[in-house]
Amino acid sequence: MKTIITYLRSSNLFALLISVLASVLYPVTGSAQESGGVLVTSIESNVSKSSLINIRRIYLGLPPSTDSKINSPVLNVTDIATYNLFLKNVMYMTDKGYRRKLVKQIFRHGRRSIPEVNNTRELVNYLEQHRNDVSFMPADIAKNTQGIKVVQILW
Amino acid sequence: MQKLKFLTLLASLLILNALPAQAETSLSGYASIIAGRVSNGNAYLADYPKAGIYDSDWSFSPDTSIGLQISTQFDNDLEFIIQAVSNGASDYDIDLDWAYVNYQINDEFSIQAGRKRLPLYYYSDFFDVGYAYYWIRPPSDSYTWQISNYNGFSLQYQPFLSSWDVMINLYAGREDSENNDLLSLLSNAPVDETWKNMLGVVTEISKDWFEFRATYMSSQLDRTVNGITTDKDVNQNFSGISINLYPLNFIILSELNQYKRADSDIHVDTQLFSLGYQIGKFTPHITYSEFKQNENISGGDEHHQTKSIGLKWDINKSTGLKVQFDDFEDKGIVIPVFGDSRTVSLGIDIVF
Repeated sequence: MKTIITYLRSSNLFALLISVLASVLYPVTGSAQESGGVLVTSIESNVSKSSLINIRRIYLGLPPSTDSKINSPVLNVTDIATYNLFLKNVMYMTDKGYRRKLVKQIFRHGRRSIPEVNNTRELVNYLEQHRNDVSFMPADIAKNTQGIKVVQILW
Repeated sequence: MQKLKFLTLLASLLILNALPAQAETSLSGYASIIAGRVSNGNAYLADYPKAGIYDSDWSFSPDTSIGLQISTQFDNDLEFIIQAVSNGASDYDIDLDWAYVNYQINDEFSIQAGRKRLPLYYYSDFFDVGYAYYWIRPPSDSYTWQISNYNGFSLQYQPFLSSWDVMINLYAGREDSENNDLLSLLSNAPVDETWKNMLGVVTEISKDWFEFRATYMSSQLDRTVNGITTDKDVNQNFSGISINLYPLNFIILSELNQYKRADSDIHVDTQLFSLGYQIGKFTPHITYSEFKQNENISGGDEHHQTKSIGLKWDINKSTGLKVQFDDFEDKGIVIPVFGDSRTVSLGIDIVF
């Protein structure tokens, strides 16, 4: 047994096993993983960079800090991998945990419900109509999408 | 007339929901349409606070409820929140569960003034929001209070510490309940109840898969039965803890509470333990709950327990179908609660 452990530690096989295990535990694929995720808003907006804690607060329905000029958040569920990465990196939650917490925030503390969009065009239109609202998306998609601007890198 | 009131509220909700969203106003709501009947026994008191009782005929009244919540933001710091609720158990009368002003002092502190739900138990704040839990209703042995609201003030502290969320809620207030639903039913006479000088604290610590909640409240009680004062300035206190775990697909829920009214020699313990397992959109679950009053000099011996089994099917992110079977055992001799019973109930929960 000791020999096997020594072999695993000394070889690339150990790293491979860890990688496989990590990919099973956190099965995330797609653009957002490769390019990272960003906070976006309308190109007309005057929203400024905010702390991750403030982003987390507003996605739980709490009022945003006044210095960020953010009005409301929008959940972007266009790409489930990006959505899950947002929850993992910013909210520290799984989808189940987030939905559970959101319902309680709304009906226990009277927090505002958070609108959802499920495609990029709809998101851009929504942000154009709600100038100081924010959402998240993969950095490479944000770079190639007109009508929005990147406020900050989230992960 | 009752059906008309219910339909009026339902129509109002649908119309309001169809209106374009206003930037300053947020609209949320919920509905639970539940039917049930006692299959073995005489009656089952499913909803203590509103005295919702099933008997051997199918009925929608005991657990059906519909609510509308409106939050109006006056500026970034000031918000008015109102929640109107219509319950079948209360003959579909429309009650205001919430009507309060929230002022956000800074990112972590906020203060509220007005009418709110009394946050004694874990599910007290959202008792009627069936979508938020997998049961038809929170286990009735544990949720036996006659007072569900208070008028007063609260101060909330809500910091975020890394992946942990913390919430500390201090509150103070009172509630006057005329012809209280539960006490009038159990006493078979009109009972007026007042809880005054309420002072309480609720602490919650949570992260994705873990929740801990501790609660304590002290107050004084006045009671009048049939116009005759039976209790005046009686001290009472309530304490409890809840621990909920969500490892992988498991859901493990627990709640232990204690109620004491020393001058009246009343000491009550309640507990619930529940296990669920999420398989895709389905969550089968089992639950054990118990209410036990220590026998006192006046013979008070209320003691009952329920074993439940049920299934929740999450049709989508805002709709769930549920079915549940409750096996209720009534061990009280001097204070029985309708005797042993077996009840089946099923229905749909919606949030919007």
